[in-house]
Amino acid sequence: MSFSAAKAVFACCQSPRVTAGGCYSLKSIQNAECRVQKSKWGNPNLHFALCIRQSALCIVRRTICLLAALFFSGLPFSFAHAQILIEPRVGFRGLFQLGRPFPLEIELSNSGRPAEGVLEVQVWKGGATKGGAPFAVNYRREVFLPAQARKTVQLTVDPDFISRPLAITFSSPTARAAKELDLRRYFAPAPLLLLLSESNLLAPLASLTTAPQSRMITVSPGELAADPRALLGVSHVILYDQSMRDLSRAQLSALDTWLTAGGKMIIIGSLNFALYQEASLSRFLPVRVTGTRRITFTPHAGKDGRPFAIAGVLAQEAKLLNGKALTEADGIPVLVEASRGRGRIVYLALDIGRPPLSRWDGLAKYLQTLLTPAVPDEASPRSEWNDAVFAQLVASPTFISTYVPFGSLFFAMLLYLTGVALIPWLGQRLRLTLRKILIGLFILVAAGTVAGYLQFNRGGNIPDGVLMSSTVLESSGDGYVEAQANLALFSTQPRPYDLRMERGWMELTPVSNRVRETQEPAVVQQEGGGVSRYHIPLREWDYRLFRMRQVDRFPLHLEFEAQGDKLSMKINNQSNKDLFNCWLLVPGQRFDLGQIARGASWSRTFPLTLPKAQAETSVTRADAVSFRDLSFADKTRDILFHSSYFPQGGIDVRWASGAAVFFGWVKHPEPRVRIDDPRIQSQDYALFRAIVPLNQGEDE
Amino acid sequence: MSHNPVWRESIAVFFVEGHGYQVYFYLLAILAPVEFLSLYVPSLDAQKWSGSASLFKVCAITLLLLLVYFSLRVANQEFAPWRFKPLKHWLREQSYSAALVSQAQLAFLSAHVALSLLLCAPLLVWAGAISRTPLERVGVTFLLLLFYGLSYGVWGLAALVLWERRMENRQVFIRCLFVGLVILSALFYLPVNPVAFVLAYLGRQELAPLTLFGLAWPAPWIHFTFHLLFGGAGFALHRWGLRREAL
Repeated sequence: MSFSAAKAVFACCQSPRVTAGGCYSLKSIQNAECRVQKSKWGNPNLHFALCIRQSALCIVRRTICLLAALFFSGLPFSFAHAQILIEPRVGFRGLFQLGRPFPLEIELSNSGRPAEGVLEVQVWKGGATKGGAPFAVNYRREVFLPAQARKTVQLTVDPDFISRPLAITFSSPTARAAKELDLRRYFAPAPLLLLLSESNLLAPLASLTTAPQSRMITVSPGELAADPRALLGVSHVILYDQSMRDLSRAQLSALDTWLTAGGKMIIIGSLNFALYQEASLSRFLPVRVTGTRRITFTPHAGKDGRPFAIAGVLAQEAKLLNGKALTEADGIPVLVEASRGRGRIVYLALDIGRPPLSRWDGLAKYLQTLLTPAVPDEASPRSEWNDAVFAQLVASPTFISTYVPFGSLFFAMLLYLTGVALIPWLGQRLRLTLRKILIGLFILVAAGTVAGYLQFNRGGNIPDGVLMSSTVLESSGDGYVEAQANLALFSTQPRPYDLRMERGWMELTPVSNRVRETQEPAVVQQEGGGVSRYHIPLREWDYRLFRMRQVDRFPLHLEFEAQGDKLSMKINNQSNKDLFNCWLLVPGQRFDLGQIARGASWSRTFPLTLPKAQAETSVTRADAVSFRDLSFADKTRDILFHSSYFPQGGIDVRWASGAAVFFGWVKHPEPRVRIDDPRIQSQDYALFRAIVPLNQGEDE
Repeated sequence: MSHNPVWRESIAVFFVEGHGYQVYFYLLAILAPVEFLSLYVPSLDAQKWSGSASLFKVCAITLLLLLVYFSLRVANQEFAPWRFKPLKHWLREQSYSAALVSQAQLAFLSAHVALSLLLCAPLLVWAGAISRTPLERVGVTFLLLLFYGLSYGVWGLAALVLWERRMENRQVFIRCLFVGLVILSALFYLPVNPVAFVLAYLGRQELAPLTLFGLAWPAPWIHFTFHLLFGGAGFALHRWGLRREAL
């Protein structure tokens, strides 16, 4: 109720009808002014009873009035407010990997009135380790808390350092609660291993925790985060005898995204093979499970060098779907490894929780081998993205022309100066009075000022800001690419920006910027299910740089095969994008492949040896790939290529020693980040790239 | 004012005979290339875009310097000085009052400053639109420019009446005044300097207050008090010089 209503209630209390309740103490019986005493009932007992009754009624009325007044007046009265209690739960069972995002579950208990407010978590980023000053980032979620209710909110937070506490606040018009959390009690220096198992036959798996610094945590499916970013501090998810039926769609999607982004999943078979036939689990399996049977398993050679066999091992019968069977026994694939994007799935068909395998003393060591990949993962070369690169971009004519109207300014100036010169000249020629000349000048100035202002401020397609994304799609085979998107947000006027990340994004890291770090903190609005918005205020002519990582489907299949002094290349573009300006670079040579349209499929052979004349005159290293002489019609592409994707004297030398490099620009690439505002111009560049070491003859 | 012969003489020399056109030509010929080149030839250091970002600042400061400099020179009758009759003619031979002459000279100075701002207005407003400077800041900048033009220009009038027959002295004086107060004053106390003040205003920065007698005086107060006193002193000197000449 409004303030006026409260005043009305007070007025009601003060009204004569209510205050004339009469005397309400025994003393008042003798009160000469008592209206009851003056009434026709002169009996003292009756008078006493009536007085008591009236007094009681009066007290009740006044109390009701007082309560109503307090209720409606908005005074600090405990009944009029929500009382919020914040109970945070950090990471996975109180553990997270330092330097990686982790889930933060916050339980809000409301013991008062309903409250609609904002839950905010402030973490600190930057700092000495990131080469800049610390700056705050707020994670925000709008929450409605019913009266006398509890609500759990899941957020994914990513502090760069934990020496400053994490601050949780809930604020609403009726309540405010805050809590600080010292994260130093919860971190682990190494990635975590999550075990999902309904079975209690866990003794062999417990041995996996002996891996250096790694911590295995047993979680239930319900505890798996619905945001793939929350799993970034997890190296392995181990599944044994676990139904995945209860996982939500968001949780499954998060697990899938985490896997393709580099996660590793180990699925261990069990007697309950029906669990492995469920759609929610079979989507991860590289095999189709059909049943179980006992087999003889020969893990490896014994100490004496002779093969060592275990008979009667319970194993799942399965048919290989994809991946590679590393071990087979009795005609069934026992150990299968499959890759998915940058991730890896290992399937072990044996039931390790049941005899005779559970009693095998070499089991722990065998399981350890599942955690370490046969071929160590090689990180993709990082592109350069910093102030120096952006300085080149922003100064290039193609970028400037999007927001700096120097062409129209030149013509406007020319017209105006001509007009200013012409009016006095005409005035003198036509013998006009000074007043008329001045009026003419005034009209010219007024018209020029207004028209120019409208043109340069409102018209002319000058955007409020430019969002540029430059992405390298690094082919990882099997139709997946690792997308490293470098983002630049440039603002022409002071205003807030809402970056909406497309689903599947994994990391968004602000590139450290020393000067601007002290300004207003950025806000990450997390809407659940991994959907996030990055809210950032910018001043006029200010900019911010970000790096983003995502693993995505891009079914462009490339196969390279070194055949002596020739290189055979097969390409099959099943993606829905055309590639243009495609090149193949091998040491000392380059081949212009032109455009590779969607659906195109061809194979060609290229010589790996230099022509004799060229070899004699070449001054470059014979095993190095040179990008120096490549140029593109678009200046922005040129800068991105030479300064960001393949920087001169760059940090990565994968193409510097015997590698074939294929690249092509993606036509009309999908934006990785959007700003839903027509006043923000968006520019997207994407380069598909595949680097194949030639000395290993590896297929891509 | 239209019947004031001193005013009519200034108008005739400047606009009818056309001796004053060069002033406005210089103004536009300097301001327009500065504006265009600072937009067209961008330079970016590692942190800040300094081309179109600072376009309005660059133009406003350029115009401030030009306006103050030419106001001083116009008031000092440095353009076609042979065409102006000496003060002795007006005050003694024609027996006009010092107040009438002062009024005419001040009015002409104001007209010059206003016309300069009017002619440069489109260029400045366009710069403001391109650099996304809020309209109210553009408006306040115009008022500041008008204020500086008058408060400094009045010293050109003072120099004219104090050393009318010593033209070289006047020229040296107003140039020293310009360099000393518009440029070098920043070295002593920044809020007094008009360039620093305009830059701080446009950059939404607060200048350091002046602590005097244990009290912290806000920088804008110091700035405007100084300029009002400075302009007032110039005006008083001008009036005093005219009265002395009339005797």
